[in-house]
Amino acid sequence: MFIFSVGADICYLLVYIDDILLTSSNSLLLQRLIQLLSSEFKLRDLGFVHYFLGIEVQSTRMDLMLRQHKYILDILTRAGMLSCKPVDTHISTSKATVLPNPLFSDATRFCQIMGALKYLTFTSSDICFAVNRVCQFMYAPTDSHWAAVKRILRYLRGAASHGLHITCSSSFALHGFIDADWVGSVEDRKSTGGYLVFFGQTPISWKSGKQRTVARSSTEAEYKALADGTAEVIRLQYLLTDLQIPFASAPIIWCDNLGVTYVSVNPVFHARTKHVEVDYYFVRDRVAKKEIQIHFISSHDQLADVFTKPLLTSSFTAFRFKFRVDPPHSA
Amino acid sequence: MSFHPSMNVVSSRWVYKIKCRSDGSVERYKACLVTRGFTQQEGINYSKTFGPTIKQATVKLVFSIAVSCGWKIHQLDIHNSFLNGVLEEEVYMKQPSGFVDSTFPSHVC
Repeated sequence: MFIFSVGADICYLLVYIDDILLTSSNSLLLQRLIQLLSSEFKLRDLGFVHYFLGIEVQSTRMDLMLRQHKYILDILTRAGMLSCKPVDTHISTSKATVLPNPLFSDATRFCQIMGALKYLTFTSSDICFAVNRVCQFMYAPTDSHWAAVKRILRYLRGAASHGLHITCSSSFALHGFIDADWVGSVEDRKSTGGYLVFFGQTPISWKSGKQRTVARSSTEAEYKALADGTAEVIRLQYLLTDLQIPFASAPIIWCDNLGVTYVSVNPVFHARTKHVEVDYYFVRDRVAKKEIQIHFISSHDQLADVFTKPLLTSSFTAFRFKFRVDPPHSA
Repeated sequence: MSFHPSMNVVSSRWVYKIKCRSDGSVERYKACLVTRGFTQQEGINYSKTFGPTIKQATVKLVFSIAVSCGWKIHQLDIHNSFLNGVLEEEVYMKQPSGFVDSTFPSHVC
């Protein structure tokens, strides 16, 4: 990414090998920059962005819709599931079993589909948890894992035209949600953590993942997720500074574990948290410097919940709405 | 030119590709001669590779800023971006299939 500023005007140049996005606060400056670039490289001005890195961009005056509709249909065709029956959620809520299962016969195909789904999380935050969960078994996929993949594909069949809805934000503030599902993984009892970071009203960064070590308490698991979320928020904050975007207040991180909110401001070490020392100091340091704020939120409103556990259709659909993953007609 | 064992030679093959538009219709048929770069070894045949890529979150952040500020987003496409790189090593290629000189089949280009 390159930033070009002249006086109060600024230009952002995003480069992905040979694809370039260019936006500027001043359209004259933008035209001048395009001319300068074209004198150096042989390039084509494709006009307003509509298809970038396999993502369809639909724009109106007030909003943008990022969709991967064609990409989803390509994956479904490749998996031979173009005419499957759609489902409402991407993962089954019934407990996964660890019964010995025969290995899936075509592991290469499994990995290819998973790789394709991984890229789909660019715009579809809703499938992030399920994709990450199945990705954990890439080394030896079984039939039940393939069934989980098919479930995601069936979900996508129904949600193929959905996309990330970017709307006009009145405030330039970052805020994040973090959550963890303590000992959620039945295979090794590791916890699953996730975060979701909003810029104004638009979610811009999200992650779901199994934690590297086993947490001995739910607070510990949440705290590790908080450290990951904090790192991401701080990174985005630096990025905003680079982009010369002013932000008024310290970003707020919402978490649904009271223990975590206490530990993050309490300078006293507890015996039970001693072993999470690095994460502990990392977060506490940021809070003490007032670079971030950590607030409590009820589990009901915890948006990162979706990244850590399977949910029922009703709550999943409600969350998806808040993630700004919308059907096309509302754009 | 004639082959010498000290030369850095890669083989090549033809790749045929149908380029589609985002709606799936055919835009053009492409035939592309590519070198089989994977036959090269790092440190022996080349030392550095680099391609500028952008993080997903950055794209979404900039999109969000542009929408909020009412800025237009333009897209540019660099023609033949690989031709703009500067090669530091001398690289030779075997003659492409279909275009082999019958009098000097072992020559490289």
